[in-house]
Amino acid sequence: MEIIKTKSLTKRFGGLVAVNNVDLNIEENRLTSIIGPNGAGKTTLYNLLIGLMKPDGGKIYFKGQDITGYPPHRIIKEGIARSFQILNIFNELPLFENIRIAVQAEKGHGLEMLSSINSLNEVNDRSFEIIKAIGLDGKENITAKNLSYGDRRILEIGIALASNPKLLLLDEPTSGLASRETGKMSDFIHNLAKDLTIVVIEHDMNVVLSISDYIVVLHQGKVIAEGAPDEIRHNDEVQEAYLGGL
Amino acid sequence: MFWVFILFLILPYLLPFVGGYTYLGVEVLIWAIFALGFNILLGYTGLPSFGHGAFFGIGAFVFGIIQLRVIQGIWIPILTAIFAGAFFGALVGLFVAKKRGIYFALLTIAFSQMFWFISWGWDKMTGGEDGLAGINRLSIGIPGLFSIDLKDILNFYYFVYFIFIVCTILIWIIVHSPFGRTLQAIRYNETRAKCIGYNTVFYKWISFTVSAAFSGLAGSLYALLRHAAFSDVMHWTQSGNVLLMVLLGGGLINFFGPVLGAGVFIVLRDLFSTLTEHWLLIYGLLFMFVIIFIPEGILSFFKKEEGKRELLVSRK
Repeated sequence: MEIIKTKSLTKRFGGLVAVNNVDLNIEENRLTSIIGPNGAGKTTLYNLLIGLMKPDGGKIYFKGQDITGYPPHRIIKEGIARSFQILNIFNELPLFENIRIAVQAEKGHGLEMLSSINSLNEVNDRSFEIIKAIGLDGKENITAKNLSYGDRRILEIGIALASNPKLLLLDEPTSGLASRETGKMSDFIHNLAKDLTIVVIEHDMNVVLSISDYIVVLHQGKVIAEGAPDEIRHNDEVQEAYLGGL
Repeated sequence: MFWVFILFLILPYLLPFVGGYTYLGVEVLIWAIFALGFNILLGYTGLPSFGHGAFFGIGAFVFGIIQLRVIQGIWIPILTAIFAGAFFGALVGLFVAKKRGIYFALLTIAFSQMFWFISWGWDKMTGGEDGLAGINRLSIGIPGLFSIDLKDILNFYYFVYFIFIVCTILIWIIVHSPFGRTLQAIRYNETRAKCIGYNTVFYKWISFTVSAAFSGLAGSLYALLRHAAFSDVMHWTQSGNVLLMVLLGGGLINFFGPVLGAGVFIVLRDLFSTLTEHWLLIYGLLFMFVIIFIPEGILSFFKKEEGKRELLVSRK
């Protein structure tokens, strides 16, 4: 069954159609990669799915429910979270607080004005749990901007995980990583995919082919191909989009 | 916090040594309450309002109107002033909470000018040009048990001191609460705060309202101090003053920055204005100096790790 589905989803920026009539079906419990050249509309698609942008046309259904035009904070509550290609963490805050603030939102404690942080045991315990799960335990008190780049990329995903999503959208999680770290990252994502539906935007074809169950190819705002990794590898249209028809 | 309370406890006895007087001490306390509340919005949420003078003024006028026309007393007019500050804060907040940066600042100025104009023109209610005179520092206490005469400036000082302590503790709790943390997350990275599930506009609106409530309270105390409420208390320059106090003291990096800023601001104004009638010139230069050379305020001299330290954790 599909967890998220779009119907003729469209987004324009002036004359540019960034997302053009896209019908997307993302199956549950599967790792789907979205690939495509720069400017194919991948990140815009995410911004539409998470509610940071409103579509100019079309519909978005999450588990059969129409969520088109919902603001981000409602979409998170429904169970979709995303990470960002350009690191979007709380740089000035310690690692622990980066995670804790997201857990606090998920548990619905954000409006409590007269209680103490320390009394929120479930939030604190869950935060330690997540930090352990993403392998950054022991670094809780380090200010996020002082973490290594690889750790910050992991934290970027950790913050999204803290929202306890049913669907996780990752935007170029290996962007800027050295090859050894890229390997670690794809193992990490592969592990997450065991109990989570994940969609990944990725440029590194090695990563894509090794971790994906299913691949969707976007080109100039349109879906030009989709299928299992093997089918995509041999698809002529994909070859053309990527290699200019060589 | 303890040392701040001790300092203000003995302040009336220290002031004469530096050429001050008790009235000045009360003024510092009132502005400290105003600035601490304002800093919830500026320092913690990161929203530069240039319009909180209006809520300060509304507090002063509402206090005067209630005391002179509705009910003789101190506490009920004060509570009404707090409520009025919050109410008008909430109202203005509806329009400004969605705005950012310069648009937010400009819109708050516009609203405060509007309130100032109303207070100036609405003779019947506010006394217009003449203001509301005859506000009384009535005695407080429990009938038959004890009574404190607030006409005595020292008594009044300790009355305001008591309210200052309550406010400081309350604001301390608020900014260290889950809500306070959310405000800081919004200041550091609003997009991400949205994407982890916070309705950031709603939080900014609450922050605006809460800070306006403290402005209303401070305004009512100011009306008591001066026995009157004039339109000048809602002038936009008051909004600028409270903003300068927060920046001057270091409110962006230290909880007590606004208190220090209020103290320095009021005392220096008093000092310079006795020296020369061109004191505003010296004042302006001083602030330019501070903004250029110590942009994070006076308290940045003393280590700014406070903000970070309180966020550290240790596994139980």
